[in-house]
Amino acid sequence: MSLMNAPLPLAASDEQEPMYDNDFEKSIDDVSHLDTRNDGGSNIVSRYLTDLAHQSAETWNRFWYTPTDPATLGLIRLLTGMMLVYTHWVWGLDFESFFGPESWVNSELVQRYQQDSYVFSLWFLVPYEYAFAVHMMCVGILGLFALGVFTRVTSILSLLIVISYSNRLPTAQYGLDQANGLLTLYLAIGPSGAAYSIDSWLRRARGMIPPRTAVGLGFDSYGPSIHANIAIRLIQIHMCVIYLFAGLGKLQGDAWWDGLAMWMAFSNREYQTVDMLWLSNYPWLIHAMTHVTILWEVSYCALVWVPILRPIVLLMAVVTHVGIGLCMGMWTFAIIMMVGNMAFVPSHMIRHVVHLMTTRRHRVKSLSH
Amino acid sequence: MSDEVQQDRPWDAIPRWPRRLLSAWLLYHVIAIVMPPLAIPPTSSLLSEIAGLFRPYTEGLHVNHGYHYFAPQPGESTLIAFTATRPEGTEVKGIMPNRQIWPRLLYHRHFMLTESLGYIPEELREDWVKSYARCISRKTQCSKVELTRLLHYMPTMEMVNRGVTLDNPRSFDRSVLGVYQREEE
Repeated sequence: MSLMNAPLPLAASDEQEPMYDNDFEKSIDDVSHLDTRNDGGSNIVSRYLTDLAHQSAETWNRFWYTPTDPATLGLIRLLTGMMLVYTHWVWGLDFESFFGPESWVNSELVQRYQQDSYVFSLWFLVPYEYAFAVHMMCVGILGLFALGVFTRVTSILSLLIVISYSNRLPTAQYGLDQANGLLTLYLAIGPSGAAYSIDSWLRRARGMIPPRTAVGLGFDSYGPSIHANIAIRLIQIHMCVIYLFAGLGKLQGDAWWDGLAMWMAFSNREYQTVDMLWLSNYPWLIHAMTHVTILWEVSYCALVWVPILRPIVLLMAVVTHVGIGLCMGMWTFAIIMMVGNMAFVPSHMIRHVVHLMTTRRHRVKSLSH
Repeated sequence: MSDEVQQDRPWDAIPRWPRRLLSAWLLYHVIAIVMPPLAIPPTSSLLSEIAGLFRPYTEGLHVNHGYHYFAPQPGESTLIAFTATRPEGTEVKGIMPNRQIWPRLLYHRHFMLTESLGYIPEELREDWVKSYARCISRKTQCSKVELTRLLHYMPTMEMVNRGVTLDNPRSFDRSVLGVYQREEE
């Protein structure tokens, strides 16, 4: 069809909801109906404010209170739970040096360090002779949480455990622990055991088919629910906050402007796991990596909400974090940040990928028999 | 309520006041998680004071972080070199974090501990270093421990092109933290 034959855009009919900006323009153009002596101007303002309030409320409700399938949340729980088991198990490899009376930073000193803070830790209460048994119990609870066993209870216990370890060893923490903490918080808030969990498997085995859409918030729902959506939204927003401030913080440093920051990271012996010093022959590449990193971090919080750009933004997240894992040896941090980014992956896509993976495994199994 | 309404406006299924309370908490939470990074210096006293109001909530839930990773820019590392001496005179020397520590996560834990010397409050510094010394004394079974703080600077691209390595001795800046003698129990 040629452009000449293309149908003209339809004029807004009377039945249609009047568009706010058309109304606004009309009000400005057609000044004859306005009595400039009285509150004609204030009418426009009050109407604008009313529309603003209505549209904000509608957008807010749609954003937070649209039911969503818990598949994404369930997979995030499984992966975060596995990471929690690993990161907490590692403390046990040198337990006495981190929790003993002669640890790197003893309990009394840590409490002095945090004396003006609103923090708690079960490690401030547990006598050392029981400490290792308590540690093993904590790792066990984290394992149950990962598997999705009694998830409503184990998710809250996991949150208390994660916070307790962090507050006992605040100066041994880094980004990994912050991401662990926030993901555990939102997994404890949401119905994280509603998918890919022993809880949901048992429920299915008992023939309790989840409703298509939960009524109300959807507490204890194994189907799409507002409750699951709230948890996913909180993770999404927190990921945006992390990247925004990671980017804004960097903008205070010269090296992120003159393009040398990535070199400073690559040439730090204490972080280095892969020798990237050959890049000294290609300064333009270092500069490009620095600029792209900061541009991506600062723009993440805006562009990730644009559906067409989301795959690119998330791909950049994968590239950046795999780079951090490879070159700086921080695989745990890299993985947990990628898990956090999964909150932006639609649940139908998660279900499709999991289905493909599980059916393929079944096929391989049946062929081998 | 019909299914159609439920599908179009699913939030109407939640009674108005519980929904308003929930919305108020969500708004509070989102503002709360933004305040700690906003309160990182340089900041205004206004932001700092507002962030202070949220501290019980953000610290209690462990969401009180600044997220300033590698900011304002990647800098030199802080390490600790130690010389521990046994009563009979034999010495054990080492650097913390030891690159041989495995798994890598455990290495990073030790690295963060040495990096903390760069930001712990001045009034705790002495006790902090003593605590490290006691731990090294226990691990090495040595009664005397001498600690040195090392600042490890990175070379420029030009230096690397001239053949300078990352372990170049001149890239370390040393300052003695002290000598600590284990008190017999």
